[in-house]
Amino acid sequence: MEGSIGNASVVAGDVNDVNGLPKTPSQSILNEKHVIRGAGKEAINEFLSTHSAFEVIRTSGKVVVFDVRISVQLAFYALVEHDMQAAPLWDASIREFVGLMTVTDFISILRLYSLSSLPISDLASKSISDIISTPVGVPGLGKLKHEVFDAADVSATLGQCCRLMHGKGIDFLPVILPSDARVLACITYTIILEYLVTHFREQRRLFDDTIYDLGIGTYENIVTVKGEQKLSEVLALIERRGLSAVPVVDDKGVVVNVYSASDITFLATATDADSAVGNLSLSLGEILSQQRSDVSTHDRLYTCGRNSTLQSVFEIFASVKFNRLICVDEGGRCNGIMSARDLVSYFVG
Amino acid sequence: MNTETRIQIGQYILGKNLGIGAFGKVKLATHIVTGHKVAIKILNKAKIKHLGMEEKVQREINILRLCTHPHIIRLYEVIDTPTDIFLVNEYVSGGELFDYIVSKGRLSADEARSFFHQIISGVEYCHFQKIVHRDLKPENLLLDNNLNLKIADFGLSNVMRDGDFLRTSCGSPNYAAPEVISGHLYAGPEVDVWSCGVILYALLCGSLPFDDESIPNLFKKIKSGMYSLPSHLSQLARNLIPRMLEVDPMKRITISEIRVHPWFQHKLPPYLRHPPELMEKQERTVDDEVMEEVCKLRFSGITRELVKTAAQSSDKEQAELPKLVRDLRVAYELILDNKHTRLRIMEVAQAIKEAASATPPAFSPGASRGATPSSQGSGFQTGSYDRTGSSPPLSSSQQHSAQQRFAEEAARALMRTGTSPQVNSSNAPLQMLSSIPGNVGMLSQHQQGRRTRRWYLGIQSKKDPAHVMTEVYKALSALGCEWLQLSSYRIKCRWMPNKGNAPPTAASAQRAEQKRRREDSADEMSLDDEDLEDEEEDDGEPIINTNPNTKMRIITSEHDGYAPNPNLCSSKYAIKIGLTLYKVQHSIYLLDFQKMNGDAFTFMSLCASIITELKTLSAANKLQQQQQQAAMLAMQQQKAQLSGSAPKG
Repeated sequence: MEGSIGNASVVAGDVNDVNGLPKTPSQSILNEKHVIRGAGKEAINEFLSTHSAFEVIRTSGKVVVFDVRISVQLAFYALVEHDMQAAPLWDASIREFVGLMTVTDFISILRLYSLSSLPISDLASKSISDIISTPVGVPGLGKLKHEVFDAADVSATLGQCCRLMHGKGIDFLPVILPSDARVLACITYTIILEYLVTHFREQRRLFDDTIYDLGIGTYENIVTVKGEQKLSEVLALIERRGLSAVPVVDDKGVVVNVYSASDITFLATATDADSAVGNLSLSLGEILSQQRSDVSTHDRLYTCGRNSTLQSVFEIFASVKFNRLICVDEGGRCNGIMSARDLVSYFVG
Repeated sequence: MNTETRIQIGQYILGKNLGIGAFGKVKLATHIVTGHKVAIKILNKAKIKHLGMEEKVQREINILRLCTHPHIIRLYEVIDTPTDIFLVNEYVSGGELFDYIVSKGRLSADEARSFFHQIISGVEYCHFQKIVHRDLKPENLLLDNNLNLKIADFGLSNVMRDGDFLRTSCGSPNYAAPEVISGHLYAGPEVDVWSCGVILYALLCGSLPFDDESIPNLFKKIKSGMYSLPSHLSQLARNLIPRMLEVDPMKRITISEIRVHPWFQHKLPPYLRHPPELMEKQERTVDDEVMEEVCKLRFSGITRELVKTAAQSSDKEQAELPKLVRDLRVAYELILDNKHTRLRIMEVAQAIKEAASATPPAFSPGASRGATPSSQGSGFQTGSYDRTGSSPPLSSSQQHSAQQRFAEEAARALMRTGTSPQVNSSNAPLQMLSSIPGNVGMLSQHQQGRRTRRWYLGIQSKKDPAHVMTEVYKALSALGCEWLQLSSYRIKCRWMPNKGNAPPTAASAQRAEQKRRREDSADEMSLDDEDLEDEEEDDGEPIINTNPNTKMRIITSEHDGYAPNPNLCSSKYAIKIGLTLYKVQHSIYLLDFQKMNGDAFTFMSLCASIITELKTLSAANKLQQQQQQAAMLAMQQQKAQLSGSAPKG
C-alpha cells in the first residue's frame, strides 16, 4: 500500500487558537466567553432533546440477543463474530430481558477463572444463566448481575438517553420497541456522537474553546502503562482504577498506543479457553501487535492537544469516529485523555 | 379497423413502434387532449398467462403505480381490455444511458455526478416505497431530451416486506452484487447500492469495473471485489466507489451515507436535497396553475370541482373514481410533469452556478473557521484511518480546477493523507494492521478443526420436500403447536403462551398431544377465525407486564418515569409463524420461518425449538433408514437369489 492511509499516526492539536487573547482576560471577554460556551452547550442540548433514539438506529444493521440458556463460550463467539460489544440477555421462560452482557464481562469472567481454581471447561458447559446466578463475588461481575437495568423506548430523546447513560455510568443502552419489547439496537456514546456530527447544523461558531479549558476529559493523574507489562497486570490496573483505556508509552514517556478495557484480542486469538487464560500472561506489546484489523473497533490511537478546540475535536470525530483521544504535548508525551463519553457528559452535565 | 390508420386507445392515438418487449410492443402515442407524448406498453394477456407471469406483471404495475418521482418513469394509466393490458408510461426520447456512455466515452466528473444524483435520488425513493429495483444498469436508465435520467423497467424488482429476504437470483451479472450471484439471502437495499456503484464507475471510467468473457471468471471477480480504479479519478470518487463496491453487504455504504458523502453533496441541485417523504409530499400537492390549464381543456362535462377532485385523488383511489375524473387526472399529471421538468432544468442550471450553496454539517471534516487549505493541516494533521483493504492506493490528485478544489479539500481531510508529524515517525506498534483474520483462533477451532462457524437463518435439508414437511408436522406436534396448511410447502402455525409457561420445548409434548387430539376431532382447524377474535379483543395498547421483578426499565419521551413493559405472556402475543419450504439449489431445500404475530424473541426461541426438534427427528430417522436399508438389501439379495434376476424398482 502506498501513501499513508492505514498508517497510524498522531493527530496534533491546535497549537494556538486563542487568537490574540490577552493573558489576563478582562471581565467582559470572560462574560462573552461564558455566554458563547452556554450557547454552544444549549444548541447541542436542544439538538439532543429534539431527536429520538429511533433516529440514530441504522436502517440496515443487526442486533445480537442472547438466550440465557446458551453457554458462555458460545455467547462470546457470537459477540466476536458479529463484531458486537454488547448483547441483551433474554430469558425465554419468563419472556423478559434480564440483563445486558458486554465484552468486558467476558474479560472479567476469564480473569475470575484465571485467578481462582475453577475449571475452565465450565465456560463451554455453563449457561449464561448459570454464570449470572453464581454466588461467587466476582469483582466487575456485579454489572452482569444487575437487579434492574436501563433501556430506552424508541421515542426517548437523545438527551434523555445521554443523561441516563451519564447518570448511571453505562456504556450501552438498548433501544426498545415498546409494543413487543423488541430490542432494535444497543446505542453507545460513539453512536450518538456520530449522529450528532452528521446531522447537527449550526452556522455560528460556538465551539472555539479548548477541551482543556472546558474541563472535558481527564488531565490529572493519568495512568499510563508500558508495552512490557503483562496483560493480567494491565487488566488489574484498569479494573482497580475504573478506567476504560490506558495509554501505552515508551521509555521516554511518548505515547505509542492505547489499550482499551474492552479489547478482546487476547480472547479472539486464543485457540481455546485454556490458551485464552494463558494469553493473560503475555506482554501488552505482544497482544497489541496481534490486534485485528477487520472489526469496527474505534479503539485505535488518535491524539490531539490539550488546547485542541471543541470544534476541532468534533471534526476529528467526524472523520475517525474515535472512542477516545489521547492528549499529547509537543514531545508526544501523554498529558490528558478525553473520551466520547466525556464529550457527551459535558453537554448533558 | 379499416376506418383509418389512426388507432385510438382510451384518450391516446397510437403512433410508431418504439420497441418490442417480452409481452408485446411498446408504442409511441399522443394524449389527444393535451398533445403530450406517452409510451404505451402493450401486454398481451394470453402471452402473460402462457409464460405464467401474471404475478410478475401485476407486481410491476403495482410498483410503478406507487412511484411519483422526477427520475422514475411514471405510469399514468392502466387500460385493461379483455385481451391486452395497456400501460401508459411517461415517454422519454433520449435513449438509454448505456448508449450515451458508449457514444461519449467516460463522462466529465460533473456530468457523471449529475446523473448519479438523479439515480441515487430515484433509488432512495424506491427504497422509501419499499421497492428494491435489483436490476439497475445503464440499459434500464433512460434519458429524456434534456438529459434527465429516468429509472425504468421494474419487471424484476421486488417489494420488500418486513421480514422477507429476497431469494431469487436475478439481474445482469455485471451489475449484480456478490450476495446476489452467490445465491445468498439478502435484504434488498444494499443490492441496489452495489449496482449504483457499478454505474458510477461506468459513468466516470467509461468501462465496467467487473467484466470478463467467462461468466465463472466474472463471478469470481465480483465475489472477491476485484477491480481497479483508474488514476484520473478524483480522491473523493476514489473514496466513494470502493465503499459502494464493498463485498460485505453489512459494511457497504448505505444510501443515506452516500447522500452525505462530500462527492455527492457537491453541486447537488436543491430539488434533490429533500428526503423521499418530502419529495412525495411535494409531488402530491395540488398545483393551481396546472389546474387552471386543465380547466381550459376540451373535456365534456368539465367543472372546476371535478378537476380539483382529480388533482387531489391518490393513486389508490383511482379505480373507484368516475371515468371523467380519471381522465382529468391523467391530463393534470401530464401537464404537471411537463412543468416540473422545465422548472428542474432551470434549477439544475442555477445549482451549477452556486455550487457550494448547501449547508454542510457543522462538524464536517475540514470545516474549521479560518482553515484555509494550507493551514488546515495544522489543526490535526494526520490520524490513522482504517480503510478497508480493497481500496486501491491513492495517487496524487489531478489538476485542480476551481470547482474541484472544494471537493479535493474535503477529500484530504476525509482520508488523512497528510505527512506524519514528527511525534510519530518511528512507532511500529502503532501500525494496527494485522494479518490475523477475524475468525482464526479460538472462535473457529473450538469444535470442528478450522471450520468457520456459520449463522443460518432457517434450516436446510437435502431430503425430499414432502418428507421434510412430514417431519415439520411431527416437530410442530411434539412442541404443542397448532397449524394450518396454506399450500403444499407453506403452513402457518401458532403457539399460545400461558402465564408462567415454560419455553416451548418437547417437554410440553404431552399436553400438546392431548390438545391436538381434541382438535383433530374437528374436521378443519379454523385458525383464521380464532385469530380474528384474539386480535379484536386485544387490539390497542400493549398489555402491561405487572411482574414486580421485571429487570428492564424503559425510559420514554412521554413522561419522566419509566414506560410500562408489555406483558408478553398475554394472549395478544400468541406466536404465529409462517413456515415455507424453498428450493435453494438442486435438491437443497430451506425451511424459512417468518414471524406473523407475537414478540420477536419468543418467536426465535420457538424457531430454535422447532429446529432442534427437526434435528432430533432427522437423527432418529437416519438410524431407522439405515436399518430399513439393511433389511431391504437383505430382501433384494434373497429375491435375486430366488429369481436369478435383479428386481425392477
